[in-house]
Amino acid sequence: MAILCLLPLLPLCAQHYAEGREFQLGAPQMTYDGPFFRDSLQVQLALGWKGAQIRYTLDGSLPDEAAARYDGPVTVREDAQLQARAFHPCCRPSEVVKAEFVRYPGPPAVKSATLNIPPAPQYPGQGATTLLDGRKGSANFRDGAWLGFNGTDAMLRLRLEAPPDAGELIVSCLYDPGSWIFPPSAIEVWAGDQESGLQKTGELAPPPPGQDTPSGMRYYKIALTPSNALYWQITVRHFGPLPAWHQGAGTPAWLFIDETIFR
Amino acid sequence: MERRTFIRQSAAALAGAVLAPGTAWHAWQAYRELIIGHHSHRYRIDLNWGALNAQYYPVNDCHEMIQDSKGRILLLTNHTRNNVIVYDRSGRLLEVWGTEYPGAHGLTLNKENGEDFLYISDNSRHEVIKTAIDGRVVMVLPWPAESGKYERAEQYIPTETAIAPNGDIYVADGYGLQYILHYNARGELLNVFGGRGEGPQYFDNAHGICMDTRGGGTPTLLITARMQNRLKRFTLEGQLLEQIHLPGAYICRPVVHGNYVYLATLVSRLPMDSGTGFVTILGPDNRVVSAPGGSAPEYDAEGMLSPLHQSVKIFQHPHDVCVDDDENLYIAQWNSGKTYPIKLERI
Repeated sequence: MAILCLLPLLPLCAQHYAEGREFQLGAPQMTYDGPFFRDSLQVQLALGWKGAQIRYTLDGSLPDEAAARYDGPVTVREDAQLQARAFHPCCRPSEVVKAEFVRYPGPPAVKSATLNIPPAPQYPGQGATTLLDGRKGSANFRDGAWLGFNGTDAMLRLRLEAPPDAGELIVSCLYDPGSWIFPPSAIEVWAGDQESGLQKTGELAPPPPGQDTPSGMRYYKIALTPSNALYWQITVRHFGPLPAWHQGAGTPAWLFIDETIFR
Repeated sequence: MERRTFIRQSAAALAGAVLAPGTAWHAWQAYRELIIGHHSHRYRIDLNWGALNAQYYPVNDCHEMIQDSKGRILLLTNHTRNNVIVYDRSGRLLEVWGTEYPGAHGLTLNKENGEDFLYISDNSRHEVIKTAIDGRVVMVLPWPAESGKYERAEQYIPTETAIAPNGDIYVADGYGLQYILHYNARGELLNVFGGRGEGPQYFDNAHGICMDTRGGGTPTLLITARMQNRLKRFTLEGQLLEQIHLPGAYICRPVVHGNYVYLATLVSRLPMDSGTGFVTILGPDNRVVSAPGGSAPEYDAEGMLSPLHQSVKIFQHPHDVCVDDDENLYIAQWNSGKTYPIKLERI
């Protein structure tokens, strides 16, 4: 009799339920105030999945199960490229979440700032001050924090109140190939004691992106030769025509800049 | 509930009878099978329930599901080969019907004089269609020109309906101008409220609406404001009563079952196709008790919920939850590779 009662339950035993290994963990949630910081910045990571471990790196490398384990807010005091990923024995590791943080001592005291080449009328930002306001643009390049240039260079001329006492200059750009926004081909920094006759004090030629290069924020750090100059010119060269692999091959790339940082 | 308990106890008894106690079988099984959800509402995942041969019974978006009075499970898809797919509880196909609903989006069941009727909100037709349970059209509510709020049909993109005990029909224009339209059972417009705006009584993506009949008394309306990550409670006359904040949860329609509210949560971060969805379950006090596929709900001392987010990728874009008599869940998904619903079996 007991066995007869249990018979209808047999299909239940044959029931196949999904196993953890069929699924990937969700990406850890990352929260922080930034990405620019003056002294330090705190990054919080969470998954909300019991027993999961979040592992992270600060040097831009892919975190594996041997990477540093997250057990509370991470304090960042220097520039860092944080990558985090969740692990749990039940499931496949999560995708990687990334963020880059840049120490920003504050804008220099500026007597005058001008853009010698105007941005495209659709993306005027707040003019030259856009590049000196400490405001980071979002991935939505229409947010007003960006200057956009279509097929032209960008040229910022500065007259400072005092020498910047900086060993490097950082130019913050966006790479978003889907929106035809490419990195600069070169950045040049010029300086001098007078308005004319500036000397080149630094330059950088970022490598061109390939088809697999991930989109995102780019911070180009240009080492400066020591200078007490008050007059500065930052020239950001546009990428040129879009490369052969891009759907817009041959037409001018966009250049987007949201900040220049003396440090 | 009783049946659920019975099965659980019986299954345990059966396992005990077949396997010597103390084997590693249970531990191993528990480890292999993924359990999702929290507290009182935890589930096993059945990915095979309701899967059909897509050559014969295709789906695009699986938008909504309901269980009818006979216990059958009805799925609404915007594939016009078979807008409605009818399953039995085990996921076996019973019948299909419907080829006239290219924008099939909302599916609400209401029992009227002992008979089941369906209300289909169609995004593309800009109409709400009332049918018998077999698909026979009973009434069509066209775009509400008489409201004075609309100039043309295209502005009206109804996403969901809720039916009051007296038969009055409430339509949420969740992809249109965000109004809630209140009709009587004959389809005569009685009232309009909501709309787009800044105050709490307005909506951004009024995607779902339902009658909250919990606790007895006069029912109220629970209405989704998806882009605001909120549920808003209104009187049947259109007065705002309260807001329920669900940070991080881009919720679809609320589904009341027993003392709980179930919400398919399309994503937990933008963009809308980020594949970061899960299911949110509110308890009798309207606090999140469980989030299957999502992070464990946490409230601070002030009663503020920490932002919810996906914790494991069971779902891509859950669009509706159907709760059956045994409190198992069926999750219909939007934009998820034309997959059939996922069943969550309550443990």
